[in-house]
Amino acid sequence: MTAYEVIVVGGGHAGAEAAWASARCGCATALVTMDIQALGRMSCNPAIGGLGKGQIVREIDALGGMMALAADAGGIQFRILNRSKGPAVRAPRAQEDRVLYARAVRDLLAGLPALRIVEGTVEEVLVTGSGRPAVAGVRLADGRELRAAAVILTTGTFLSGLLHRGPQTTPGGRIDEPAAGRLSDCLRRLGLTLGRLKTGTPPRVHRDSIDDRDLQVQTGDEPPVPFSFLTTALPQPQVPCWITHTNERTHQIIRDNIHRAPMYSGQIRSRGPRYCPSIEDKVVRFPDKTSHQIFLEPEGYDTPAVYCNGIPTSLPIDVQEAMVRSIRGLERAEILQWGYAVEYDWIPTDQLTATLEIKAVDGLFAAGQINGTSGYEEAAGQGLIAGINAVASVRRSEPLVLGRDEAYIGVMIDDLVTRPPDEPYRMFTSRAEYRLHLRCDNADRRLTPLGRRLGLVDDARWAAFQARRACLESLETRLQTTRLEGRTLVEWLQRPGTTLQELATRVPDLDLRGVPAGVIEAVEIQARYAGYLTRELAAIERFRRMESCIIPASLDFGTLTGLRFEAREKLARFRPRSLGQAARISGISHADITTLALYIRQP
Amino acid sequence: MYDRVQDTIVAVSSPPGASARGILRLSGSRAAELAGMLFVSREPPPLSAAPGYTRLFGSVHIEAGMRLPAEAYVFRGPASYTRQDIVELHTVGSPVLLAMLTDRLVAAGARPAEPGEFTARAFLAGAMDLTRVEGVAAVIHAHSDAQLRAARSLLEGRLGRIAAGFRERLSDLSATLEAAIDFADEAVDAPLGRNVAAVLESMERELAQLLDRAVAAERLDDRPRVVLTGPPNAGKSTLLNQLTGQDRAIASDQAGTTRDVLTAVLMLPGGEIVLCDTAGLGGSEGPDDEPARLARRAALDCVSSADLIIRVADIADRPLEALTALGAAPPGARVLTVLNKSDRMQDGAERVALCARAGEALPVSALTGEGLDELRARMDAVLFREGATGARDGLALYARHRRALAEALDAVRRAREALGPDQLEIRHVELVALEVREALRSLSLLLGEVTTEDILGRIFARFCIGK
Repeated sequence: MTAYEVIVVGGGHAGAEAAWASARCGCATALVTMDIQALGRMSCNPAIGGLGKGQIVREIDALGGMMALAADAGGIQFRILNRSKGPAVRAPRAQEDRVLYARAVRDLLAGLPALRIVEGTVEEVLVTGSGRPAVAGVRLADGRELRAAAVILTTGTFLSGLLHRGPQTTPGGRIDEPAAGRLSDCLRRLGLTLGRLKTGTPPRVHRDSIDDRDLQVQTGDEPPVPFSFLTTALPQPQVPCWITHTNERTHQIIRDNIHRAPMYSGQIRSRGPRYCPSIEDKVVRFPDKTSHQIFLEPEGYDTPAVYCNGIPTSLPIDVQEAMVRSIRGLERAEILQWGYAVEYDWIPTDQLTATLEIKAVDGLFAAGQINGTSGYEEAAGQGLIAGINAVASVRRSEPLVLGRDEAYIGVMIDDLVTRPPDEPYRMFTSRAEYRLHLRCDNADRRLTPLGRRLGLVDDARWAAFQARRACLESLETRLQTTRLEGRTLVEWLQRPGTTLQELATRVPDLDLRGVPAGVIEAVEIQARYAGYLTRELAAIERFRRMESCIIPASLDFGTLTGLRFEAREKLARFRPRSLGQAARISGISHADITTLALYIRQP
Repeated sequence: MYDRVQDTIVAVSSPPGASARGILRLSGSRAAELAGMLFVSREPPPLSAAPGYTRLFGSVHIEAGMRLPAEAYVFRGPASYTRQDIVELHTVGSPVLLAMLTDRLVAAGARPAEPGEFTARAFLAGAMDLTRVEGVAAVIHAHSDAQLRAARSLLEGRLGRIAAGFRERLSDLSATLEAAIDFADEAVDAPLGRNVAAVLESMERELAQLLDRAVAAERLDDRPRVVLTGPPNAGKSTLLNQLTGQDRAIASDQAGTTRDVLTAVLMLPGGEIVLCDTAGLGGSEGPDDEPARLARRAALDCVSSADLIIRVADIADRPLEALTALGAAPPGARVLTVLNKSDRMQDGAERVALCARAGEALPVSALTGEGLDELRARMDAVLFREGATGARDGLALYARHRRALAEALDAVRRAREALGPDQLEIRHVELVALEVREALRSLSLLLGEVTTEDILGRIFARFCIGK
């Protein structure tokens, strides 16, 4: 029997980030994975970032997490999305080399003296105590027991995973990887209710079998912009992607075989993500669309695999082949891996607190797909928070809950615990109320001081942050005090089309040499949005007032007979921390909140 | 009252005063038990054991040997207005009797309801939204038919329907803008500036129109103001006293006796009105000191805010000249003209001619009461029968509604500004989206929130997303 402080179950994006956070804080940590080779593996698309997601990666980085560092190391094509739109809604995205990304994750974890990587399958969470049990450790399939006061479950799609392709079903967490079935039973025995979700992945084709002569090419940005505030250069060569489309014939093949699709034959009953529908779903639900876009994304420098982004499918192999070969550029495609769907167990998130701790078991945390999200970035964001709070739980220190006004990560977790998703949850910028504040360029100003207090930000990152902040603030001061033709430079920047570089040519005092491009951009953004930011701040103030109306933890909602039965039952189940959070629970009305407020205000 | 929702409350819920039927209403867990102490059912079940939606025939026992026929209506929660048990006792509509019954119920453990408490309970139980609650409250406090119409309109959710229509269109617009932001690299067609501009423009126009036409509901709570105006010593104060049947105003033969604006409540068939007596205007008689000048200014202010102006002149004292000297009435004001002291002119033909020349004037005598019934009828017609308080076309809105709609309008205007002139591409789509969200948030104060999930649902229903 080996003793740790924190055990992380799973080595995907949530698990790696959780282990990183825990070990960086100095906690003796074990990461248990079924296959050490699979650490940091990208199960689906070979990309990191995107709208809403890119912001999360920057936030993880600002807090001292690892995902941005790995993504910069493994990236093979970097783009800023929404360049033609306002800076608040721009976000970085990169194509990744699967092998390089996973290697970067392994290397980063290997550098942590407090972390042990253990190969094995967790079958049971050990608990002690009567009443509300407390975590004691885990038992592996081979009988080994690892002891710890905090356990973080990051099981991804492995919890009772079932793969579907045509009529054929195979137990498994990913293609050619076994599922973890016993753990589901253990969680049920601990009193948890488990749900079932579904997701899918498209076929991969051999690069040399693609006829790219007529295909539209998409290239990366030049120069590429990194994810991490610490990355100064991205010297690696960038590779292009291609764009092609489905056509009428593709759709006809799918329609002719729709009865063989597990989603339509009744074989799969659980919900898949609406924002990432299978190609069969798109064809059925949008019959008027005669063509759907496909991005052909190389999976790395040295692998021939190309990911067909846009056609996730669980159709039988013969249909997949016919469908793929009906697409321009893929007429002679050699398919390296067939698409499939996977169903897996998740923990409906009314069973979680905002610290990502499971309410029923003291010291048991969950992060990633097990909490009903999809996406590497969403998983990593939760992993980081679960890691931080597992440490807090072991050390009996203050847990961390990020507000909706502080970070996309805060928006995501608050969404999860107040409105459990009924499909895999993905981040969008539209989920954030304070979108102009939660930007990529200011993630460090929002979160790095917090990461420093938590012990996640090391001296090197802290020094880099302080230098950047000082540079930014001195530039901001100069813009406020320097005048040109009677106007301050801030006022000039508020005029459409004016840039700082342009002002520098007209104002001799304004020397921008040595000022990093990121700082110039951040200053311009702050100046352009100034009026809007002030308004948003006022809204944030109102929001914080509601959030600061704390509901006493001892309040027994069942006794609040002035409340409707449904409201009482919901509040007792969700146990909101504040009046603000209570108001966001689905099915709680304004009237319920009025009544609840009256009870709270009573002495 | 919100913290005592467990009490069983009781109130007389029939209109005040004597009527054929009086109603006592109880709400709370002990409603049937307490009412059952007074009410004896003619046949089983007893009231305390009656299921919901039952009507029982029987009698109420007031004191030994005194019983009156009565019916009891039982509604069991949650299928009731307040979501609690409700019992209504219908019996003879005598105020004294109802008061005695109330006292006995209070002695047995009920609490007299505070105004609007039944509705407050319905609201707290989530049985109705705020706009409907305000409708109910307005019905309770209605002073007149016009108000009642406006209040019923709210209650039936006319405001709710209109606001929901705005919210629907804003939600669609929001979905379009959010899709353009969040699915930029997917095959979502970018919204064209001119399409968004067209939607925003029509929203701005319609919201502005709604607010323009809306009548302040609070204003309806003020009973119509009817102002007596005319030259000094035309007999306005005597007329006020005669109409109201009280000696509210000091009347004398002395011109300029009235300095302050005096008001008195008068009951007309259509509802209550407030009658205002003002200092004389336009005449040369009477003092011309500072107090007199102030009195005249107060009289003018009063006239300018009147729902109805009654111009009073002395029929025997060059009435046409006196009326002309009053000047024109404020634009849009409704005016009745009366020629007072008709008792001083016996010549019928001359009266008819004068009245005709004074513009359909009514001859009255504040002294003898001649023509006063006709004057009341004319006031009633103008103020109530012709829907004069304006609640017919516009929606009566409370301050809360007006503010929410005005905020939505402001946000829509700012969205148009943020949109800029570009017809092909929206340069700052995130700012337009922000303003549209603000407009939605304002409307959600009226109707409940629009969640991100609602918006995302619209996006996924309309656009084929997912690469």
